[in-house]
Amino acid sequence: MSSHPDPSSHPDARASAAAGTLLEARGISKSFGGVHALENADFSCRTGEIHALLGANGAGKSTLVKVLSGVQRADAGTIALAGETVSFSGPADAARHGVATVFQELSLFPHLTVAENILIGHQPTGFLGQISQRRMRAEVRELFESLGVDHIAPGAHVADLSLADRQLVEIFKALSKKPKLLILDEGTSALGRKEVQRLFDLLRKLKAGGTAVIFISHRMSEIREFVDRMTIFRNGRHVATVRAAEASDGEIVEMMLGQKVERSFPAKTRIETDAPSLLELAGFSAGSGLQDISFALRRGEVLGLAGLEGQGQGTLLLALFGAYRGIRGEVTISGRPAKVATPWQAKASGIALIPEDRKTEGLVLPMSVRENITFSVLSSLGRFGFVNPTKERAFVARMMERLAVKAASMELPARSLSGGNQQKLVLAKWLETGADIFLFYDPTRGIDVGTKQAFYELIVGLTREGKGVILYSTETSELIGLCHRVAVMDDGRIVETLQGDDITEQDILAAALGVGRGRADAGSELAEAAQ
Amino acid sequence: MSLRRYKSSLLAIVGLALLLGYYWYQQPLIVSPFGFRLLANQGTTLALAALAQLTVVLTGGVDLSVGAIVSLSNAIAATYMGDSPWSVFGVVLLTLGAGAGAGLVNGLLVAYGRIQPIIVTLATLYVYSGFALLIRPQPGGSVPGYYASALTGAWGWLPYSLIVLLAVTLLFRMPIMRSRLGTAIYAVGDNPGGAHMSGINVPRTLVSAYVIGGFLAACAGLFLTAQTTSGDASVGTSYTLNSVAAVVFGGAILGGGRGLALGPIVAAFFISIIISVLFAAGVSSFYQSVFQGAILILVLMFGNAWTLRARNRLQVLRS
Repeated sequence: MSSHPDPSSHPDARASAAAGTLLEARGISKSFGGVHALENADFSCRTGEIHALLGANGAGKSTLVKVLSGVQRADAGTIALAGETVSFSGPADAARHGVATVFQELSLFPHLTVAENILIGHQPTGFLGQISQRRMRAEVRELFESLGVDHIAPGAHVADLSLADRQLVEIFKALSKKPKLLILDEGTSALGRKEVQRLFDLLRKLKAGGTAVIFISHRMSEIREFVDRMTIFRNGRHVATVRAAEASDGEIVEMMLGQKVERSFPAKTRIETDAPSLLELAGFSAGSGLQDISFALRRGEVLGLAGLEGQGQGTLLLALFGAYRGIRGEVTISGRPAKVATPWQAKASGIALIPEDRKTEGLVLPMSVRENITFSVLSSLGRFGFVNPTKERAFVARMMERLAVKAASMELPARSLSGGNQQKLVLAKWLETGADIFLFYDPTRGIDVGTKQAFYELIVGLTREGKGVILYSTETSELIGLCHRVAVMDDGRIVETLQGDDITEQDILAAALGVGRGRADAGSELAEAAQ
Repeated sequence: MSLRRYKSSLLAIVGLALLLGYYWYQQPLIVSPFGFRLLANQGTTLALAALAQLTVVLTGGVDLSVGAIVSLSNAIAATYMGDSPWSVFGVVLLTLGAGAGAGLVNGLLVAYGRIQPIIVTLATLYVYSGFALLIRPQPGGSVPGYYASALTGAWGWLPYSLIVLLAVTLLFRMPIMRSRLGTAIYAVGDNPGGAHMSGINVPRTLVSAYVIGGFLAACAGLFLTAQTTSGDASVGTSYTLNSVAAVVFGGAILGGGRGLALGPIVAAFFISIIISVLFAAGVSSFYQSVFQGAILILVLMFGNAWTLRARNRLQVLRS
């Protein structure tokens, strides 16, 4: 692996120094406890461009962002902003220099209002430093209007917003500082297609005004469509900077991974026609969010959930895991009626949930990798309520190897791992609980291509063992590549179920939008399948 | 301003209304100028202590030294106040300064010493109690009569103590909480990491909250001195945990980030008056503290009854 960037692209990066370079980072190094997150890395971007920063897990993207935004100090290297060498004492200092960042870890205050969150630290004040609520809301409303956002009330509490809206608030919070350089660290991972479109409309306006945007995302399609240039990082070093139009998806992935990798899905497990059904739902309903859901999941099958965002897919998974009260309908697991009124009953019935928000629902971030993995299997690792430490460590080591969890030690806090590795911990927690039915809630959101691939293998691996999987994904390609059947949901109901070759992007979208393609009888088909 | 904001205070308000209703039934005399003055005076010290506690609790901390600062203020005021208006004025300032200073020490240790608030304030609880004892080894001392009546008297139906409480709340605490510092205090309690990322000076915000807390605790001590007209180095002990109870009862969350002044103030009156009500109801003094605790638990359980109806239990655990 060469320590120097791809020679073909480097001159281009150099040339940019002349053409209005806003940010120039040279020779940045940063290590954490002996692990080099960044090694002599270079990065530069110009005024008025949207610049994507790409790289696999642990490539050093997040560390670079933290250094650029003043959260962490580099061990070595220089940063120049508009030709002037700078050294930020903290995020506030960086903001004063015109660098605003939307972080991966949401930095919002759930119990303050939207307006307070966005303008925190620079709220408009009047007599005796009193904050003017009226001016604050007006300012925020104006900001919202500039992006065409009208569905978020400035006076609402952030705790009451959806994840997507929270991420929008986070972005507005950065924009409110009127930055010269805006850094979005996976700022769109929770946004739907329409919202991403809107966001980029705004980014283009900012760009026209001379603002530089550094954009980090794992969604290739976004990157290709909207950015001007891309910089690829690998193992803490700069690999190449290319124009977005110049490189193909395959080439970019190759540069990210350092080897030619085709993004493909592993072959689906063949299901025997007489495979026993694992989970059957009949008339499963939860309030108005979920109505009359009926289906059967067979051993070895991946059932996909599709549809527009928020049509009950998440509710279905949570309800199956016993997180809701007031559920009606019948649940049958392996031919026996089952009761899943609480998460522990669900667990006892062999259901595992990989939840939407791994940081709050899936993991206990301050606790170690080891503790997070063994939470749900402690009783099997010892006797009389005591955990056998030798057994426990062996178990954890086995799981980490099986899932290829990248962590220097099993005693590190889960917080210190990258997003993809955190998600692996969530799965590791469940693999050995004897669960038969795995519910995945958008498991690859915000994780890189390489780890996504590993997840696909894992999901297919589960089905080969005869487990059943219900997968909700916002990426249609995953549903197509992994699922035997896809149930499209709308307004809390399953409106259509696609099978085999019928699972195409067009069919899923058509069903989600209710523009039927002559398959309106699908709902009843499902009910039959459940019999 | 929407009333929904005050939902968290509702439990305390309903609780106090029921308690007062029952008290009135037992003892009709409380609805009189004299009765009002009595009720108001009884709750004001704890209400001020609860405001002190609330300010610290909002940052995600807890201040166990509130009671000690009350005692210290009482000792200083009753020992040095003298008779002339000027010395009264000077000693009041001195006492408030001492309270703010005590809060400053707490805040510096928490913010820059990086020690957990509960341990810092437990340690300073001993230190400040010790200072109080040095100043006033035996109970005694005095304050001028006009000082006492200026704070505890009444103008017809209107007790001066309520005016004092309103003035401290509206003219001192509210402007602070409505400034950027106020938002910062809530933000630090809600998400300390996010606050740092948002450019808030977290240590300075913490120190400010403890200083405000110390100042308010000194206000409580000054009022208590007007009530008792003498000094006693251990008089404030009960205010530490009662202030925590009032804050929780008043709808604030001990983890920080949530809570308004109204709830804890009302809850402070509830907790202060309950003993008199039990006495009026003829409960033997042996059982009074048992009843006091049981009533608090019952009321709080009642307030959490909504969690039984919540559909998504994750929301209950998160709130």
